[in-house]
Amino acid sequence: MNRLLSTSIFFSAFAVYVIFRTPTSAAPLGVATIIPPSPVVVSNVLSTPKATSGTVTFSATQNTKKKKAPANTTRVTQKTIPTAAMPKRVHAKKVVQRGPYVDGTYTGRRIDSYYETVQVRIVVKNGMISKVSSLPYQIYNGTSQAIAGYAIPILRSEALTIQNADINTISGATEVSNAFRTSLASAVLQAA
Amino acid sequence: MQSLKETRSIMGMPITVEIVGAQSAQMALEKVFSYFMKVDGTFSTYKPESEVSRINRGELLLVNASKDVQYIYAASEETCEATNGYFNHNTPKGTIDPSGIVKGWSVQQAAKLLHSLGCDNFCVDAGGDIQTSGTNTAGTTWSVGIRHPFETDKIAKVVYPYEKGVATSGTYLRGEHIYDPNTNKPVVTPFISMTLIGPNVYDADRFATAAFAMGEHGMRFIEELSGYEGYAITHEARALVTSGFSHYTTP
Repeated sequence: MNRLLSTSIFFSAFAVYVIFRTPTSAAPLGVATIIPPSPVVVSNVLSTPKATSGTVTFSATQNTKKKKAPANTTRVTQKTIPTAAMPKRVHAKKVVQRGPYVDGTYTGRRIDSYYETVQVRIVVKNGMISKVSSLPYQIYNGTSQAIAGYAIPILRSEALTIQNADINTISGATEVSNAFRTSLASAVLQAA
Repeated sequence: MQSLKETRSIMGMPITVEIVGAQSAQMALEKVFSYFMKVDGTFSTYKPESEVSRINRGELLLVNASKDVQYIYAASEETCEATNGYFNHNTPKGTIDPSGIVKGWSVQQAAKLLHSLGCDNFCVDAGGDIQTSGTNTAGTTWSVGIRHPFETDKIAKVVYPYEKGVATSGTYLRGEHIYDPNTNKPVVTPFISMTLIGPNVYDADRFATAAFAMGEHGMRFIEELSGYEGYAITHEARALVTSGFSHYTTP
C-alpha cells in the first residue's frame, strides 16, 4: 500500500513538473526568426492630411504638442492616481534659438527630372528649418510613439543638431537628387 | 601614418578608398577601383550590355549568368524572405534592380580584397555605404559623419563603427526609388533617411533598404533585429535612435 502511494505521488509530481516547466525556446537566434511587421497600415494613429487636386495641405497643428495635464490636482477617474506618483510639472525656461530664416511655410519650385517630379515644402520655426517634406510623396504628419495592437519599444528621439567633430568620411543623404536640391533651394531662398 | 586616398565616380556615385600605412597602397587602390568598375559593368541597369540588363531583356538566362550575378539574385531572394518582402529587387516595371544589395555587397567584397592584399587599415565608402578596418592616418578609430539633410555640408551625427558596416537608406536617392511592396508606390514614411550600423556593410545595406521601405515601422524592426543599430532622421528635423546606438557615438 505504501509503495503504491509513493509511486503514484512520484508520477503525479512528475506529471506536474512536465506540465508546468517553462518551455525553452528552440528557435535559433538570428535574422530568420525576426518577423518584421506585416504590411498592414494602422490608420487610427496616423493622421494624414486630405489631398486636394494634386497638392497636399499641411495640418496647422504641431503634432509634437501634448495635451496639458492638470498640475497638482488629482483627477478623479476610475483609477485615482495618487498625486505623489504623478510627475511634477516643471516649467522650464524656454531657450529660443534663432536661426537665419524668417518663420513660415515655403513651397519650392516643382522640378521635373527624368527620374522624378519633386516639390519641396519647408517650415521655418525660430529661424531654423523645422520640417521638410517632399511632394508627391505624401506628407507624413504623425509622430506616433505607439501603435494600437503593438507593444513597441518607444525609441528615443533627439533633436537634430550640427556636430563639428573631425570626421574621416560621410554617410547619408549624399545622393540627394538634383531635383530635390533645386526645389529645396528655391524654398529656402524664399525664407531668407 | 601615411595614407593614400582617392575618390572616383563609378556606379553613378562617388567611391572613396583610403588605405593607411600599406606597402603597395597604390597598387591595392587600383585593384579596388578596377573591381568596382567590374561590378558596374556586370550589374548596372543603366548599362545595356551588363548581365542584369541582358537578363531584364530576356537575352540572358540567370542560369547562364556569372557566379556573382547568380549569388546576388539568390541573396536578394533570401533578403526578400527575411524582410517580409520589404526588400524586393523587382521593380514595378517588371524588371530586376539589384542595386539595393549590390552596393553594400561590393563594398564588402572590396574590403575582403584589401585584406587579401595585406591592407588592414582602410576605409571604403561607396555612396555612403562604408566599411572600415583598423585605424585612420592619425592612428585612431575611423569616424563617420551622418550628413545633415537640411544644412548643406554639415554633419548631424558622428559615429565610430569600428569593424562594423554602415549604410544609409533614404528617399531622395538619384534614380533609386524605394517602393512599398504592398502598394507598389513610393513608400510613405516619416523618415528622410535611415542609417544602419550592422555586422558588415553588406548586411547593413540590405536591411537599411528593407527597413526604410517599412515606413514608420522600420525603426522598430531595427530595434528588434539583433546586431543592428539605427539612426533615422525625420521630416521634423529630429532623429530616432535604437537603444544600442549610443554604443557607436563615442570613440
